[in-house]
Amino acid sequence: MTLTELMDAPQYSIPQEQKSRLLVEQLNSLTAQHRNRCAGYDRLVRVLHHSAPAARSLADVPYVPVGVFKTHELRSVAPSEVFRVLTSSGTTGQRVSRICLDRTTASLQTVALGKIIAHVIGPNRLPMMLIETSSVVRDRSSFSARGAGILGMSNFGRSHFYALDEHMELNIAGMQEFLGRHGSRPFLIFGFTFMVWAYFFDRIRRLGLDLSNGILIHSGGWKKLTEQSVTNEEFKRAFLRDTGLRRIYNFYGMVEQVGSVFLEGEDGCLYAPNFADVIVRDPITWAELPPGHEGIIEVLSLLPQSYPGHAILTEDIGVVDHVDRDSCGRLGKAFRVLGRLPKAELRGCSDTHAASVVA
Amino acid sequence: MPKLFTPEPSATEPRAVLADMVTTPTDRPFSREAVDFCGELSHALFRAGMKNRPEVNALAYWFRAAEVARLKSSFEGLSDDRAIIMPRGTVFHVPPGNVETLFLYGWLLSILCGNRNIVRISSRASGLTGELCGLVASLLKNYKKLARINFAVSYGHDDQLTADLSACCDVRIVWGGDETVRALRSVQLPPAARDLCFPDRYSYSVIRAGAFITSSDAQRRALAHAFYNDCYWFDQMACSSPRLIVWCGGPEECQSARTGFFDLLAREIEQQGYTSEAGTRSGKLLFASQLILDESVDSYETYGNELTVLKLSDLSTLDRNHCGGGLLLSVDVPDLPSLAPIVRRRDQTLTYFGFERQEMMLLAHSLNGSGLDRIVPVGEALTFNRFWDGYDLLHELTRRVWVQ
Repeated sequence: MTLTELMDAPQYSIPQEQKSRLLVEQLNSLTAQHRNRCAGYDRLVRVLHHSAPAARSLADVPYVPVGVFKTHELRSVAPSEVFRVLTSSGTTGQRVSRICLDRTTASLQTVALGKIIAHVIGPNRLPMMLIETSSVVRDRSSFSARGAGILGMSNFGRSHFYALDEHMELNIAGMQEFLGRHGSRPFLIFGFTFMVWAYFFDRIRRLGLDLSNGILIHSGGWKKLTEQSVTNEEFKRAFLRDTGLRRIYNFYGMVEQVGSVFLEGEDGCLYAPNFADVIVRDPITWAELPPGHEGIIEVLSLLPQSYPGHAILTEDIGVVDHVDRDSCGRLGKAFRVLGRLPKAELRGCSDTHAASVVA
Repeated sequence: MPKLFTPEPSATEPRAVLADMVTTPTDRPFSREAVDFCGELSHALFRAGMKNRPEVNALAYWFRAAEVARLKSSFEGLSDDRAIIMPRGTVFHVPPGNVETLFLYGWLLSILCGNRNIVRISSRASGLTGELCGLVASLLKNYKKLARINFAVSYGHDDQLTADLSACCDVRIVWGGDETVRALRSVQLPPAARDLCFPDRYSYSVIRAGAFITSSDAQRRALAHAFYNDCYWFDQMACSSPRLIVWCGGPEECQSARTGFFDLLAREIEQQGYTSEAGTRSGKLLFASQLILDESVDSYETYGNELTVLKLSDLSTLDRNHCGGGLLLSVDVPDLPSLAPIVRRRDQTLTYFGFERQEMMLLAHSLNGSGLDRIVPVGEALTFNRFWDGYDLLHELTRRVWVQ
């Protein structure tokens, strides 16, 4: 099956063994393509992966640690073919990833995301509420991860309503108008997990709103909510209890592989679409771990054509729960993300606590 | 809230303690009390028996009575009947957050020199730092004079307190890397006071391949053990921990010595039960990848689970950052003089194996101070010395009074 066929086939429909075989073949051609066109990546494959002969399993595909994209611009197309540069979000002083997209990759990302989202919302665009301020997508020349995510998702909706103002205040009147107009038929809500909880749910939970026709899709990580002891289960329970919203889908994705996101199934696990996959590695040996074992997540995707990001070792911890169990109409690996790898606490003379002694 | 370890439990305001302290006279250099205190602390550290903390034993060993006596006689050798040596006054120590024992070397030397001391303990310091401070505090109770002129204060971010402490010192000792040094530099000192700074450094080893090859098995194992201590005690992040091994010899000799040595080192690491966290391993993999992209890296090898070796063919562009946690760079050179062009000002400790001291003397002379502040045998990288980072600490912590 070609990439197009994989995208057109019903998502989550291919048994793992067959899927792995299909993916490995195409990931091998991506490896060859990127080795030819990106000298840095070729060096990584040659040295870090000892020249990696053609992969026979997903785990054999030479991967790149995600942090490399923060320090190096790895690109497999000429600068003139770069259509858009995506950057990750990061606080001041932090280095951000820079991902170079050509037109092909950018359009593959859009199509791919469409296939994934259509799986839960159906083929038609739905009225869409964004838990965001409209300013985040206003400057189109440079996209932050947040802006790119919002813009990418907004393709799947119509009659967009940005629910937050510049000061992150909820526009309650506007929202009630939106619900009056669209609330009796299916509509889409999208936002980043923490923002959905803090700027949306916290402010509407006592208003007695009816969101039972809504489909909430959210992403962005659980770190802040975990600090407040809000788990995915609690998140969903609270929405259902206070708003009647029951169709809630979290997804795991990153700026280094936009488009191939891992969307939650009704069983609460994350699933890879047909053209992407995930493996969990042992942080001691870096070998692939069997289901049930926690390790470092590696994400694989057929989308990256313009940069060597088809196999990326993340800094996230996760676990594959089961494979091909079909517990919610989805085949393949069902996995969960357990959090970010804690930063190394090394000893040593050089300490990074400078801020605490500065006057 | 700043927390005081000494001298008076009732005094909770560091500025009040400070005001009292700076009016208290300094001690005599190598006073009876100071010498006894070091001896007793050394005993107490040995007794504390921190088995899995070899660096604590090393500290205890360094301040044992016999060693302090030797230090005293070399100190006496520094003065003559015209230039006499006196304490500088008040020393403000800003140690690193996580090399727990390091600051005690500086502090104890300063005590021996007769100075008053304020030690800033980061509020994020490790448990061991707390334990060590507690031990010092409990012993100081019996040393009335010292207890009045030594205190440690633990605080987090408090610009004003840092400024107040800086304002009343004669010497400020800043350990802990470039960022800390830069940050502290912006805090004014009194005009006559001075900074003694220990910024980020880089350290490595040089091994004569032929000497390794002709060594007995026991000698090789001893070398691996000594190297392990240098490298892994502080997760390879002490400024003097080696991050690179330079092999001297012909290509085949080097190749054979390398594999032999790294296999032995991996075995030693396993025997010592050293393990790093997943975050460290992930950091090592990332660092290796970045190095492969930036430098001429010929190969990437892992030996066991805790040793990664990257062989480089050229060091001329090497930036001296390092991830720590057991990643070694390796490079071959034909002979010792070929090492000289690699050396930079930032390089601190060179540990060596298979060379005569005389050869190292020649190397040092040829470098003429352009880099490397310590050249010591493998196994001595972390052994503290009054000569550190190019300073003679006994000298820096005292002043010369000329009497004609």
